[in-house]
Amino acid sequence: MPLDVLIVDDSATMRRIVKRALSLSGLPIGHIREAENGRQALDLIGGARFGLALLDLNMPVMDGLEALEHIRRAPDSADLPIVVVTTEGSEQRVARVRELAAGFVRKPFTPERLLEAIVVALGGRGHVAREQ
Amino acid sequence: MSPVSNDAKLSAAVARTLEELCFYCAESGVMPAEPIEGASFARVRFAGHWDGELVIGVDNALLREFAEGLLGEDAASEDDIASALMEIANVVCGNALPDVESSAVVFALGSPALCGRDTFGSEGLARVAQASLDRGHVVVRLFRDPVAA
Repeated sequence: MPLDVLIVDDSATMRRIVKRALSLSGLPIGHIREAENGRQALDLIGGARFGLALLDLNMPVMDGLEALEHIRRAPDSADLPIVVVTTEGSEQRVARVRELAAGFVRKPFTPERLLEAIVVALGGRGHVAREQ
Repeated sequence: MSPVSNDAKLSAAVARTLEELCFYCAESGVMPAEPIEGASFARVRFAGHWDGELVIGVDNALLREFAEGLLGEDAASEDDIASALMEIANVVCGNALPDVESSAVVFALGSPALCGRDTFGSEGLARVAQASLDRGHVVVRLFRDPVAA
């Protein structure tokens, strides 16, 4: 089943780079929606079902960590597979991402590294889908 | 003339980031980095453990190749090239700061912006890096804001 993906990043360029990496990953990608910040992401998640979210941390309006905390508190999205894709390198914030059960990929990333994190976040389902 | 010699940690972070982000093999420069002719520049402000900004200059021909490689486009538009430069600045800054300081400290990065070559002459220069590639050079300067009395 194709995976509907939400890409959250304030940089349109980085959203294009992430989309390109997804297209090279071999994953069965369905619809891709985009948000520029955490607030927009929460609005989209509230109105649609996603199979995966790729989330930046440093964003205006609402940053990724705050959005992640909201997503995990909401019953409908608490189990949403999420991979944080960020330049953030501080141990403190990375540890908080891990506590919130999200995967982590640091920019810059290769399509292979992104795929590995997605497969882990999906609990192996992405890998199965690729092999079919 | 730059008052600060090329910084090994910053140079290594810049070279590694360019390799991974743009798929280019970069060699860390060993000479003092100078502003480059025919280049485009972008800056990223940051705050946290200390405040300052990172400014990056990339030879225009090299920047076009970076943009086309990053975006997977055969012919990047001028907007694409400008956006790519700002994204490169953002990623280089995010990777360089933990390397030159420590991953235990926190920096909050602002949004990257294009800037002029004159930004390279700002006061507060703390570290300099230069990466050399086949098609041109990338120069990075890290500035530290003065601490308020």
